[in-house]
Amino acid sequence: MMTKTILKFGLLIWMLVMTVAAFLYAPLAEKLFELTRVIYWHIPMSWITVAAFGLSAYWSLMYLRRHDLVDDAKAAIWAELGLIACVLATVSGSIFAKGMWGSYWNWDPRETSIFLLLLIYAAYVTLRTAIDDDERRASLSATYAVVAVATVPFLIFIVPRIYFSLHPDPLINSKGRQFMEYRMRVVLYSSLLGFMAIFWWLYRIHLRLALARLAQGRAR
Amino acid sequence: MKSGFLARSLSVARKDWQVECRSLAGLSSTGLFALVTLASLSIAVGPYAVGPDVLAALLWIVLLFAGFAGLAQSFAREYDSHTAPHLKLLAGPHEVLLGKGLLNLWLLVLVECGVVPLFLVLMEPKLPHPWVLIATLALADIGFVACATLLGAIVAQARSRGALFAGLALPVLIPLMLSAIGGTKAAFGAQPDAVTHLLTLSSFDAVLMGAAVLLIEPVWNE
Amino acid sequence: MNDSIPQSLADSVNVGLAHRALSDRVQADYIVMAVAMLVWVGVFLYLMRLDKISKEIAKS
Repeated sequence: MMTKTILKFGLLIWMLVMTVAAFLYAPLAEKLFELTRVIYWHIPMSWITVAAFGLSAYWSLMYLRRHDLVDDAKAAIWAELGLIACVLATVSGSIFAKGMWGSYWNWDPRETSIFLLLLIYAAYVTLRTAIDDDERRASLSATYAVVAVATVPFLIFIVPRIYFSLHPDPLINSKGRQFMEYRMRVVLYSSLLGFMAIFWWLYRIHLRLALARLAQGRAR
Repeated sequence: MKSGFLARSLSVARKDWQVECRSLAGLSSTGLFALVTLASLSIAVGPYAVGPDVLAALLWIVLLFAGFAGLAQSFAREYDSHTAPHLKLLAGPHEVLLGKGLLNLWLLVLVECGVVPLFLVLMEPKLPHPWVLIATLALADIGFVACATLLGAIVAQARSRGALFAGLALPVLIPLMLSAIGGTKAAFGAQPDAVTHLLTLSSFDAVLMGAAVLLIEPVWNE
Repeated sequence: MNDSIPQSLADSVNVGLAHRALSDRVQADYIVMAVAMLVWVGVFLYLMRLDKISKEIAKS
């Protein structure tokens, strides 16, 4: 109990130090100027978006195999958290695009694919609200999550290859890491760790509530 | 065994076709929807010279939304008329999927046979490669129908179907729509390379058909 | 000064910043940083509250 509280305050201090480091420790990238700082929020958010999407699809698949409503609850929680991360990644990316290329939105392939992830998440959440029966909702939404994830490779690999993109190379690109200076990478990775901890915490809170709801349903 | 599977699938398709012929509800509403969309586009765009890029995009918007209006119905009808339990006794999930899918494909092709020539007449794009257009239409139809049949089975068991169906299907179908538009641009002579788009379309078809076959069971048996 | 009116944020970053004193830029940095830290504290207080409420619900 005590250690958990200490861990939580440690996380707050970690994120505060990360924020200070993003402004004072890490240098500004060439040509990006003050926009550099958006990176430390945007990249972790987009990675968490993709990871949450994968986790949601994984638990959906587990539900289809085992028909355990806990698996369904986990899939739903990750989809909701992924939706939040996706909105934040989209907004921060849009601000970055305005500063870099002069317009908030111009259907760059990266923008297209993150927007589609947003649509898929939104459709999944909407589908869940449209079905009343627990088990039916679970298996139908799990099916949709798996269908949606089957199309993601096309969004990530094929669409950006056919259409020209302005987006900077991902951090780990084929030419090696020329994009980031050492101090920038330190801040980025600590930000990523902090965000992962926050989302894990959120997941635990949601899961606690979902399990309580399920137990209540069984008791009735 | 194999022939029994095919025969049962075909009988599902035939039964639905007979229902459709009796009322023409799906076909006429889908066709009317496509016609109205096309007419409004033609009225709005008619006086201006529109490039082949925009025309390709317009054609696919008309076809997709007409498809959304029509293809969602195939499973919904079974639930509305309470015939779904009977159908479950008569045929397995894959037979129902294939039967409904074949009928959906047939309906979509019928609508396209009306809409696409009308589009060509009204919007007058240059068409140097008609076979590319036909191949693009055929490949895109297969993926579209595979996706729409599976999602139709999902949506049929939910509330507010019509709006939900387009919301569910569109994000899944965007890669298909983009390559179909690319292929159509190539057919209109606005792009040199049609093969990439046709290859993307066929691999996307394979993924969607595989997903439909693997996932229909939990949906239909629920 | 008035030969270049920035048309977009990118322009203002490239052109405008050159005219601004370094001390101004650093001051703006501190303000943004302080706001970001305040937001973090707010988020954490909210999360702690959520955590507590969810535990109470789970117990009952």
